[in-house]
Parts: sequence; structure tokens; C-alpha cells
Amino acid sequence: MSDQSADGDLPGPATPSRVPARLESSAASPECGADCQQALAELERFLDGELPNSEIGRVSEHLAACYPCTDRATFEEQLRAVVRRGCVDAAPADLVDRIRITLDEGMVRGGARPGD
Amino acid sequence: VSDTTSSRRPTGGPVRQDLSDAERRTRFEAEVLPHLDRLYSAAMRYTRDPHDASDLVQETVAKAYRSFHQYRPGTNLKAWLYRVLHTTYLSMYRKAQRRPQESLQDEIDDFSFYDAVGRRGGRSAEFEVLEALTDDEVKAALADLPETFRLAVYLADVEGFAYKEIAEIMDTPVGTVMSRLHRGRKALQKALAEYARERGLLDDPDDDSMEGQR
Repeated sequence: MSDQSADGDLPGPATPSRVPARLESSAASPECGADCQQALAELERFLDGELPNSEIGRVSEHLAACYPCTDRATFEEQLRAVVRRGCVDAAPADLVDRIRITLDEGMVRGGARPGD
Repeated sequence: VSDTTSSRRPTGGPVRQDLSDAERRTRFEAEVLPHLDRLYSAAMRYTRDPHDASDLVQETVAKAYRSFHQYRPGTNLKAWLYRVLHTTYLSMYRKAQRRPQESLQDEIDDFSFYDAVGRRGGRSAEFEVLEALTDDEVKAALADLPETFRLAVYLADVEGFAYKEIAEIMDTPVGTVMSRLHRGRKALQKALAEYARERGLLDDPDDDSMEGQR
């Protein structure tokens, strides 16, 4: 079973990108200012999906309008994808067998218990 | 699938006591064994050793089986399993080590992989660097992080747990999780940047003013 799930069950959340596409109309990037600083301060929680709903809009609107910040956000997001992709190990083939044996033993023990 | 939701009552009693041993075993195998590769990957990050990782997963699954009656159907099975994994790890390995808690240097807060790549200039250079990083480098960089940072980053970035879930798995306040995550990610970026630099994908920071500009 480990063989199939190694590929089929990709690690981590298959979350779609949280970084919005940049608005074409805002091609002229603003210089990094207070808006950028505020958005970047919240970027980590934004990408983690942990920002309260009331604050998501502000960050996401800023990203949509600011190329440098979008670029940075995309980088951070892709970096996480690289980490996620890099941390996959398939369980050794004998581990399932070892576990089944352990469960068999546990069953014997479990069956002997009165009702714990 | 027999759903026993209607018969469940807030008596405080174990939810699955009513299952026969055979039913319990079947349920357990169906629900838990599909997580085995993931648990093993996690155990590799915890122990950093294939043999220890196998032992940890085996013990985790045994423990989870013994306490499967405590798991409430409909709640997050994965988070529950990782909580068992975490406590099993602590009881198997932490005791033996008794290492003082490691920390990260304060300067780590200022590091940004993005800025380090950006120095090199050129659009999309930063994404090429990311693509060039190998799985082995990612694993090694993560393995080098102090334990609490390593686990927080793994649980968030690879397993996708929410702050609150990580706090429960690691039995630590949410604020601590956030700071470990923030600093752990910075340290991970620094380590990855180091690998990129060794391979000539990044400029040496000391050469900063030398070439190219001005």
C-alpha cells in the first residue's frame, strides 16, 4: 500500500495559491512604502491562511496592486512548495508487516482486558 | 458503514467501546494505515534516522490502536495521530537526550532568502534558484534546525496544520508556535541559501559591492 500512496497521496495541503494575480491596470509598481510594509508584516499569516477575514482583503488587494510584493509572496509560497515536495519518504516495505504483527499482539492484549 | 452517532452521548465514556475487537481492528486499519507514509515522513523529520523513524511509527501506531477508543469520529484524525506521534517521540527519545533547549540567533530575523537571491538581479532568477534546490538539500536544511523549530516548520509547511493544531500537537501556546514558525522558516531559508551559494547559484554576500553594480 505504501507504493501507491507515495505518489497518489501528495504531502501537505493541496491549497491553491493564496497570492492573487496582479491587476493588469496597475502595471506601474509603487515604490515600497507604508502599504508594502504593512502587507509584508502580515504576509506570513496571510500565506498560512491564519489572517482573520477582516484583514485578508487588505493584504490581498495590496498584493494585487503591487508587483514587488506579489513577487515576494509568490517566492515565499513556492519555497514552501519546495519544502513540501522535498520532505517525502516512503515507509519501508517491512514496516506495514511489523505494524500488523503489533496490532495482532495488541488485539490479544485488548481482548483480555475487561473493559478498559 | 455503521454510524453510531445517534447513540453517542456525552457520558464521557469512550466513543468506540461498543466496537468488537475485530471491528475496531478493521476500522483502525482502514482509517490509520493510509497515513503510514506520511507518518513515516514525519518520523524521519523527528528522529532524522530511518531505523528510529520505523520504531517511532510502529510505537505510534500501537499506541494509537490502544487508545483508538478515545478518538472521536468526525474530529481530525490526522491531528490526533500526530499528537500521538509527538508524545510517543518525547517518551521514546527526549528522555534519553536531555539536551538543553536549542535556540536560534537573533540575527536570523533579518534574513530573507528572497532578498539574498534578488541581489543577483534578473527577473525570475529567484525562482530558478528555488527550482534548483534538491530534495536532499531540503531535508538536510530542515534536519539542521533545532528540534522545536524543525517540528513547527514541518507540521505547518509540509503537513499543512493550522497554528492551533500545531499548538495542540506540540502542547504549546499558539504564540509560541507562531514565533517558532517565523524564526524556523528564516533559519531554514538561510540554510537553503547556503546550499545555493555553495553551488554557485547565489552570490557571496561579501562580494556584494564588488561586481556588477557601480
